[in-house]
Amino acid sequence: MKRLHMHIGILALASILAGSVAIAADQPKDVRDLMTANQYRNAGLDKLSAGEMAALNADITSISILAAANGPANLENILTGDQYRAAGLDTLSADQVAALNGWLTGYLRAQEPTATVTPTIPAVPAVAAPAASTVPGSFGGVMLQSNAGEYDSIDTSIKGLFLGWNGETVFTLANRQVWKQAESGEYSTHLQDPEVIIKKLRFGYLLTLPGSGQTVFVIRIQ
Amino acid sequence: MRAIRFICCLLIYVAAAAPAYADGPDGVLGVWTTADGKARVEIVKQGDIYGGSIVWLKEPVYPAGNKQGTPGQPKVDLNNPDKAQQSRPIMGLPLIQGFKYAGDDVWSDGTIYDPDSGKLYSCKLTLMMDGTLRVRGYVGISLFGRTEIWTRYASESTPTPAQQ
Repeated sequence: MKRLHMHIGILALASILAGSVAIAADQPKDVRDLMTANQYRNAGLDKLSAGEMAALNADITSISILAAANGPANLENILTGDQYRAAGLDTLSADQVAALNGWLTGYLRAQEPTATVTPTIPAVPAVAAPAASTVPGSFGGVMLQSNAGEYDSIDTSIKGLFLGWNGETVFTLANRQVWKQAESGEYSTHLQDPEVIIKKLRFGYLLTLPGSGQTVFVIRIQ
Repeated sequence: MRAIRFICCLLIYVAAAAPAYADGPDGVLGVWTTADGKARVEIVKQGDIYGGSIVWLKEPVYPAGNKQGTPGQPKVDLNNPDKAQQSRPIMGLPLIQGFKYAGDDVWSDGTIYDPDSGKLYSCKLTLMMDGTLRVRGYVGISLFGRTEIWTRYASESTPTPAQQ
């Protein structure tokens, strides 16, 4: 009976959320794509019927506007006392409520707009024209923009005297892109305007000095 | 008596029909198809450590006209930076290693090897409710990485390349 109350409560909660948070239509979501198996079970969602799950999915889709809220999500603060009781949340154990709040917090945070990446290095001086590359600036922009239209590699050069890398090295390329060393490791050299290739691999970007064959993983920061 | 027999049959049926996948720390065990569908990886447990090796390849031998390996011969780890490892077969290669269960359907502190580049990445595995496995490979911190989605291979027996 307690389980039945809980399920009715979840449905009621979904209805309250849908009613109290006016929301623009969003892409349909399925909590099964959003939660791990443990989160799913801990919130008791594995007992929901297909209809209940559909209703919950519709409401999860609609509460993304709450992402603007700061701090951990707490259903006790989101809902009024009456709503909380009407949703049956007062019948849940503290652990179940905590699990639901924990998941909701993580989910809402994931909905927040991606923070703008702030370069930690001085602005790059203007360069007359890319030295060797005509590849669009989208390459490597995984943290800055969509991957759409990315190329698999760029062939360009590093402006000026290049002394290698030492763990925190920033690479300013002739095509105005700025990349930073992403892994530990050191390599010393003494090259003027060396050619470099940055290639997109399975899980990262690899900078290669064709002359020496030396490589280092990098991330794009500008 | 009939009722008892019926209940016994029902229990056996339910047990047989239930998913064979374990919950919790061992939920990741089994055979998984990689995101590109070109390989299957069997994840096993040794002590408290989880790892997985390639047990099936869509293209187990070098195709005709291949310049990197010998056409018709089994693929080997040619891109490994360690020359001593370059002759080891891709079939059976330990692709992911060293994972510990971190709770909440996440296995962390492991590595994933990319035979196409010979590079090793840090890796985290997350078992999703939809049954997929999110494999996040990264260099440095997890933020700067990429996630692949592996799907569980449903067949009870993993076919050998000769069976494909």
